[in-house]
Amino acid sequence: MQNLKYNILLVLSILLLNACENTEQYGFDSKVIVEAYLMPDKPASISISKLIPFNSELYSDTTNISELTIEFSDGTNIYSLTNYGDSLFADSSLIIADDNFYSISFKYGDDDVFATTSIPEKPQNCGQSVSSITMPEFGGPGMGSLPEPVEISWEMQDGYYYLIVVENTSSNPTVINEMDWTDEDRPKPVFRNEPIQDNSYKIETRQLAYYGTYRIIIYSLFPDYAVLYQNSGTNSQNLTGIESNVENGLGIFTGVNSDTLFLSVN
Amino acid sequence: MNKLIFLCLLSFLPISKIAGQSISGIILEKEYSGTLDEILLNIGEDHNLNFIFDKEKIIKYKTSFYALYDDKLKLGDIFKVLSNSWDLIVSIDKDGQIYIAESKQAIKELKGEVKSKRLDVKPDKSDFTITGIIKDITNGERIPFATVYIENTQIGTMSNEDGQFTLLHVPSDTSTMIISYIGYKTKVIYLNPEIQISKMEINLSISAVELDEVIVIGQKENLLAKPFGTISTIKMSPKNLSILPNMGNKDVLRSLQLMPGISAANENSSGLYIRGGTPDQNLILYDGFTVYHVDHLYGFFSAFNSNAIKDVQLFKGGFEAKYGGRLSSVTEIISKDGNAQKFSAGGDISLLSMGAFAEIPINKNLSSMLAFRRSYRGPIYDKIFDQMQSESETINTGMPNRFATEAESYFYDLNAKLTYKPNDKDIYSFSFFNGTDNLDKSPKFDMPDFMQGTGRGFDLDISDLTRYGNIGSSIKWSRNWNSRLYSNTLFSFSNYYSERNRTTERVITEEDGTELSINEGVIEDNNLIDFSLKTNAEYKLTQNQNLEMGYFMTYYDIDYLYTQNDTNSIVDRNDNSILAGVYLQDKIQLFQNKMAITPGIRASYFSNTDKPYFEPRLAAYFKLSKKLTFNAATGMYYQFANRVVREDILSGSNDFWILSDGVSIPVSSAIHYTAGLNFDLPNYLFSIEAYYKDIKDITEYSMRYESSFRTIEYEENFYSGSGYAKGIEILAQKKFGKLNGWISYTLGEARSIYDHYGDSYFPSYQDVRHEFKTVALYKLGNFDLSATWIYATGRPYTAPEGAYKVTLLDGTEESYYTVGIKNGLRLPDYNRLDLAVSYKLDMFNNKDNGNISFSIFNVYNRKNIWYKEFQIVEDEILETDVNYLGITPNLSLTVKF
Repeated sequence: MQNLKYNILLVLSILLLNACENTEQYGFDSKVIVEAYLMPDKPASISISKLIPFNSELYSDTTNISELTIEFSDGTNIYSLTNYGDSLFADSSLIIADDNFYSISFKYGDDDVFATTSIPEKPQNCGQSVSSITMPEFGGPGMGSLPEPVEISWEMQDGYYYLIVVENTSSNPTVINEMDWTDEDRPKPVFRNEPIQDNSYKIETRQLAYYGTYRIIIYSLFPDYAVLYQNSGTNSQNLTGIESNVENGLGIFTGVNSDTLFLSVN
Repeated sequence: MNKLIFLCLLSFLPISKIAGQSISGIILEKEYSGTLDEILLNIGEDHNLNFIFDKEKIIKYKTSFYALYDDKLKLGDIFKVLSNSWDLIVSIDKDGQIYIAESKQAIKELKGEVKSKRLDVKPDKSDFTITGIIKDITNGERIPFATVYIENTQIGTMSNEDGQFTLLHVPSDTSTMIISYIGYKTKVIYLNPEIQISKMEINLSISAVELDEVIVIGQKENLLAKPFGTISTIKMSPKNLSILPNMGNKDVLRSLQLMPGISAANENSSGLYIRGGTPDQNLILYDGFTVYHVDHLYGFFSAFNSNAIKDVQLFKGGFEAKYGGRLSSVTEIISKDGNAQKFSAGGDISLLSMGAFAEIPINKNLSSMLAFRRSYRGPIYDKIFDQMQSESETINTGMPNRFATEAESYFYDLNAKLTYKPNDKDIYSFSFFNGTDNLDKSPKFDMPDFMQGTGRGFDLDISDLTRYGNIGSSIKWSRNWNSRLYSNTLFSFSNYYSERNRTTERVITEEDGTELSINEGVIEDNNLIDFSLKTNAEYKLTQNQNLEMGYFMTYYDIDYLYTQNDTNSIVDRNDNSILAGVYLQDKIQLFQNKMAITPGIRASYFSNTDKPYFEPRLAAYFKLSKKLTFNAATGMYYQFANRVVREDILSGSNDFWILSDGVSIPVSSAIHYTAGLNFDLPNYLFSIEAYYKDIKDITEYSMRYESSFRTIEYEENFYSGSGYAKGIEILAQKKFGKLNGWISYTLGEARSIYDHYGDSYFPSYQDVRHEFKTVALYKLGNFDLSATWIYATGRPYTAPEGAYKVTLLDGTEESYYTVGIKNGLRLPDYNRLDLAVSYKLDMFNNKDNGNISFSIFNVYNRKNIWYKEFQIVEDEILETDVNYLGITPNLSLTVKF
């Protein structure tokens, strides 16, 4: 009988422990997303957006973005940017110069959001191994060989990352070898590498799947931008946030500079 | 008398059942073959008869008995053969006991020995010492950690890892000695003045038939047990593992997960989460060397082939000074020496793997064992592999998919051992183990020859290859110097390797023959080498005091390389260090063995930090009554080599081992406190234990707070924290009988604190509040039925707080998450039912020919969640559950001969 009592007590205490357990939940602080690439000779333009909440019941952000006052500084003067629609703030008269420091600041809810950047130097001494290549005829007897990779080079500067974006300038380019690709795996007319710290990049001619003229843009970038290429994970075991250079906010506020080359694929 | 008396104490069925009929007239319904001792043993088992003989005298006779034509084979026919062909004498006493010997004198001796106690022979000696060795009767395999004690006294001991034992202060030579070991029949030896008391050889037999509850002694086999008088210890004999449900292979580590305090709710880790500790905090010793990696196929199976294993001991906490270098627990695995008497071999096949094993006696003193297992792309392998494959990101090959073909993937393991026993005192053994996984997800291309006739070539090699495993070896010398001193010295080597290659290599051959190679992607390479030398010695100072001491020395060499795109090496580290030290412990028994205390100290020097480390340990045992014992233990534990898990499960095994440097990766430490009560009845065991672990300076690897995208300093990614784990474990076990099994419950909590996650404790990944497990085993003739049910609170996980998109410079949109409170949410509770039926094969009149078993894993197809996948679709975060395995049937066959 005594044992039975103990057993009952044990079961009861387990049930009680179970019942007392906290449901672990939490609310979120609102955060704003800033998106701005400041390019020399282009007008200042910034996109402001809201966080997509994981659980909208636990998250409320009633801020009206179009009513925000965005202060933009070029190091000397402070300007108030104009809202153009939902999330875009710009000033077409404010042209970015490559030797200034720029910053933005605004109030978002209770947060003072602030970010600063300068403009990196334009990539110097950009060159390419060839300016034109001829693709072999595919599909017929005696298939030819692919041309050698096209090497793009520049003078590397310490602390900079370089990004190469290759895009076909035609709005409806012709595919080189239709037979080789299905609709799903056909390369896009635009492709890029990940930011690198190097002074050259080889474009595999295999990646050039269309005829026409390609624009090759060599961007010089700060590490703040390169962080965007870091994988932030997609599941509950590898989820990680990425670093932002926006204080009390998320996203990117950075200067970029570039040079452009052209490649003809016949 | 220099011989062994073999008692076939198979049955204590009422003798009246036999007395009414002539023993000689008993009809034997099947054939019996083998050596005479085996034949008599089998007949005894089949017909509940007691044969008493001196095994050494009759083992030389080998034959087969079977009925000719329609005649029925009677026991009397066999007696005639014994008498006519071999001049053996058969004598049946009034109690129905059958004595077989070569002479009348020998029969008398046999009767005298058996009845010494009953005949009230006057004792000749008192307070003397018995030494001996305990072996498996079927193959001569030495049985480690078996219990030997004198009935109705507190005098007892345990055999050492070589099966040897010394029992001091035996009160009289008419006492009753009892020898037991899980998985074997308990043996009772009635001592008498003429019995040999030094180098006694005791053979235990595996229980082949389950007997009725009226049995008083003998026949007690068990699957998993808590040894008497120990704390936080679990013993397992892999012999009966096949009766438990399994997913693909009978698995020693998976079976241990059914005991309290060891988490069973993670199907993707055969490494053990013990009492809130992580698998790398559990020291795994295989024949004395450390095994650093135990997973096969993403962790769904362990790398230990149960066909090669003799004994497994698990110390869940508060372990002795003999063991060190880990914060949480110790699993000691001892492999088989190999059958010293005769050649035996076998093979098994399941829906996952196939394997073969052999035990080869080379000569009288030299035995060997070999076991090999390899997976094949059967239904279970493919089910797991495909699940992992479909979840993983695919490499953009830039190649048309129509050229892709399927890649090969497999695991294998190999165990080998050679044991040399030149004399009674020395044993030399060489052991080897290798378990490797080759997970190849590389798309293979059948490239059309674009460049035919041009003299130039283009080759594309895309790799998505993960290869990991452990290779280890040890050479051991054990010596029984005298009845008081035993020592063993071990030199070992262990190598853990993990290679991860996700690269695209393009080789262009120019017309002049020069080759240009371009490599893109990530290569990760971790290589750990451990050379160790250690000696353990045991000295029985008095019957009440057992000293254990030893030294250990390990040289570590760990390389870790992480490179991107050929040249961009993110981490390139090469560490080596020496860990050396000594330990001493003294087991002192007090108050007529009603109490025992074991103080111990382990002192180490670690060259990487150039510091000494002292680990005091204390264990105590109090016998409150004959059945009720109280145990407690405490101790300090340090860990110098750590396994860091990169948070990317989809890439398979990309964890790596690193050494503490005392700066960015501190030497971690833990203090254990554990106490428990055991109520041990003949057929039941009730146990409750509580534990608390205070853990300091544990290290986590994270890229999360990276300050900028640049060449990363290795040290920057490590974060140190601390934590605690506490809990209560309850076990109720029915040890014997047709229906046996256990119920276990663990209430636990494991929390951590790291500065970079905030200033409050959060649940550790392995934190499980409630875990309830039940195991039921039922024996029905040659069939064994079993069921296990597991229920566990869901694991904590980290959910995103929100998500956002950024448009990159090339116009593409990338999605990012903001991460919420670390492990702030919990997955739904885990539960699962597994069932199995196993049929013991009984061919050639041999009782142990293997088995055929059918099991169903996750019978009611519960969708247990492994982790959550997040996706941003139209400004909403979609959450998808990625589940563990659903219902998975398995059929396996083991054949031995």
